[in-house]
Amino acid sequence: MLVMIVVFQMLNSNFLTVANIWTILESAALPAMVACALTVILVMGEFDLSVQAVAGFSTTTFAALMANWDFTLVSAIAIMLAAGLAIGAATGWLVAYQGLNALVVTIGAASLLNGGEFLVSDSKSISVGIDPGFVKFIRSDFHGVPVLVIIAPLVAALLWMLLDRTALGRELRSIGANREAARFAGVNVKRTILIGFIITALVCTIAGMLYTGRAGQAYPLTGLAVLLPSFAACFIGAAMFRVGEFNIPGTVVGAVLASIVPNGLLLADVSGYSTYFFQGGILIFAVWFARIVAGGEKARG
Amino acid sequence: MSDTGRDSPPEPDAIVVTDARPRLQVDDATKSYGGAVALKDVSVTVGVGEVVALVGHNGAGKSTLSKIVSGYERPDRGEVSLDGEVVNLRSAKHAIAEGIGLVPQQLAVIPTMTVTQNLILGLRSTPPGLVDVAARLGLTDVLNMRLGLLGPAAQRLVMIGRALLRGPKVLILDEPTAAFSIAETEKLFKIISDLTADGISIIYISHRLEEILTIADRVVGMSQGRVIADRATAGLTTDDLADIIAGGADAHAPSAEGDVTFVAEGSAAPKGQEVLRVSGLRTTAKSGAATFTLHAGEVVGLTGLVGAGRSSFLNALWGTGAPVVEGSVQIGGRVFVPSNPRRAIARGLVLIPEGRQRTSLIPGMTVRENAGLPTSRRRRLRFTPFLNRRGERAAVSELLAELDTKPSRAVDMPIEALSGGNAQKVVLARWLMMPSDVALLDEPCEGVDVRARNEIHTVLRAMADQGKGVLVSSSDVEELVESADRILVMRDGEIVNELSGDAMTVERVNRACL
Repeated sequence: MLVMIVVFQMLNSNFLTVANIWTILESAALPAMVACALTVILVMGEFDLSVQAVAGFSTTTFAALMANWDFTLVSAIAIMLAAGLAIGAATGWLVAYQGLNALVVTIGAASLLNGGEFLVSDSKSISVGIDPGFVKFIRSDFHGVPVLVIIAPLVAALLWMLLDRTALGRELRSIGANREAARFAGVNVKRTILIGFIITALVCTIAGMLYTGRAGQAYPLTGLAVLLPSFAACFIGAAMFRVGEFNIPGTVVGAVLASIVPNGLLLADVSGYSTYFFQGGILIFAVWFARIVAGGEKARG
Repeated sequence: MSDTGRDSPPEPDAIVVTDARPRLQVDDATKSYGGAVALKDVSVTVGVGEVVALVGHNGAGKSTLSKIVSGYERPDRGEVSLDGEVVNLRSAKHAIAEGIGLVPQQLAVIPTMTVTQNLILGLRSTPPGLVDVAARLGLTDVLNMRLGLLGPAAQRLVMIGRALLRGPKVLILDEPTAAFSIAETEKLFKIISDLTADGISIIYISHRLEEILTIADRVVGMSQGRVIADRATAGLTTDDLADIIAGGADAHAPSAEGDVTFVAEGSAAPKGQEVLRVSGLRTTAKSGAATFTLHAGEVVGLTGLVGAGRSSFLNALWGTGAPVVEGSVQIGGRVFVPSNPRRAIARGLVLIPEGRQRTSLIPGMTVRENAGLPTSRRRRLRFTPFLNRRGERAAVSELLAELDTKPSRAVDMPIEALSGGNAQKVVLARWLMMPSDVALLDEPCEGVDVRARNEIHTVLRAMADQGKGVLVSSSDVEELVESADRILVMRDGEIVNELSGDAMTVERVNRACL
């Protein structure tokens, strides 16, 4: 990490300015939220490839509710939270109670949601009609700290407390580590998996709505591009903290790291498509690294 | 046990098979696993075309012996010879090449493949003997059918066929008739006779006494890693055979004569209130139905041979096993319908399941988190969703200290850092924290050392003294005889015997298992 920062600083002296650090953290805030949401799913040994689609659907639909259907800000938020709950409940039910493969279900859900974005927005860009107060609030600073940089850590802290300090969190983790033993210990495995999917979908929905405010406009499939970085963040976190286990603090650090790279590359004036190489490369490297760390642990035990 | 054992005429010349050099000879084989002796100076011979039955209780050394002969394990001492020449078996592959085939107890077939595909699995090309082997096993008509459509008997035959395609001189059959009907068993015996006529030798491992007397030429009895009997089956009765398996002089004591049946109640320790009543409970896993009662303040043992259905019965009560077909359960006098662990817990029934690595321990969690998993919802800080971690730590520490868990500050250590016996104590602590009236334990002393075992039994006794009903399932009869008030014996899902007081000796319990 340090090497990376040094290299970027050498390539562009603006990299380590206060302004750029806030820029990095602000751009990392929403991806970090999604990554933390994904961590909840990974902790229980499941997969969710629909996190980006849920967030994107939320971004576009939230804007459409206010702009095209004249809902107030509060009612639009309420509708979106209900929608997020429904999406999580649907995928979670299919995975937990119907025993469908989570990968396949969430890929399918992602495609449905992508289509949904075009449906609700009538394939048009939405820029007029989004509550200006909301946009202003999201883009504002609080004593020089961007609002998003305050909200995201709060959400992360909530999820961390959920996973580490509550019975539900312990049950989520036990399902991921040894599902059979969790069942024998009286954990309601199916319901817990369902709840896990709902939590993830809700957090992704919130991140998507915040992105509407941050961008001030919405067009289908141009929301948060967070799928690969989220997975990378989770695996980086699993490799760095608590050897081999997914955890929220690790994911947050991983998400910030994953955001530094595109920012540094941008400042270093590297052509845009190289982000693909870096994202793919980082993801594979992170998984590999997590594997090495976890493997070493097992060999000793 | 019926008396149909005298099928084979008692001709004195029935032992003539072992005339020349034996086909297979094991000399003074010894094998120990980390201090525990599994096999001690075992010598066995098998003649050409001879069927030798290997009998003995769980842990007698049958499996170890068959693993050594089939190359899966190497003996610490001793050697294996084939046709008079010493073979130093390096691996199962090597053993197959030398002509020793093992057909294990577990079915290892692929149901979605055809019979032919299953037969030639692992071979590079279709072997020329395929048609012949299929004909021998009566599989010719079904060669192109998917194996999953055929029953377990056909699947067993396919596994035997796989061994036959490799041209064995010695074939080891481990409990081949476990899921067979009488007709299927007869068919298998015809096949075995056909094989022995060709000079193939058979080692036949089984618990079924009548079968052994019908098919085997000679029976080798094992106990505690030694050979304790080696006799021709001609003239043996099922009772003689049961004596060999039960294996001690006590089996001949006057008190052991006749069928041991339900001993009059009252001979055991004074009982408290009935806490559990199981009436005719049958699951889809086994054909028999279990009936018994459990009272407050007593420790009851449950034993039986491997596969007797003890685990599937206990898991059925817990709601994690095969579904219940019929019968009823009462806890504390009220009807209880087994459905899932949460319902059982709510009614004051807890199960400490068999196989703690698979069914109990959560890797990556600390000892405290492991112990606190089922009780975590009951241990919240008031008006918050958060766990009372301090209270939990205190409770777990106290219990672990009582159980003498090592190391003494294990409570915040990862569960992986603990040895088997200590990890088992954590599992015990987990369920001691849960309020209960009935505690079921499935092989609680599996893989723990003698000291930990004694400590665990002390805890079980203490639980009973607190007014719980404790049911301990174990295949270690000795352990139960020492620690239980009475012992229930299960066979094929049914409680076939109950022993207590003077009748509760290792030999008699062992006999009752057969």
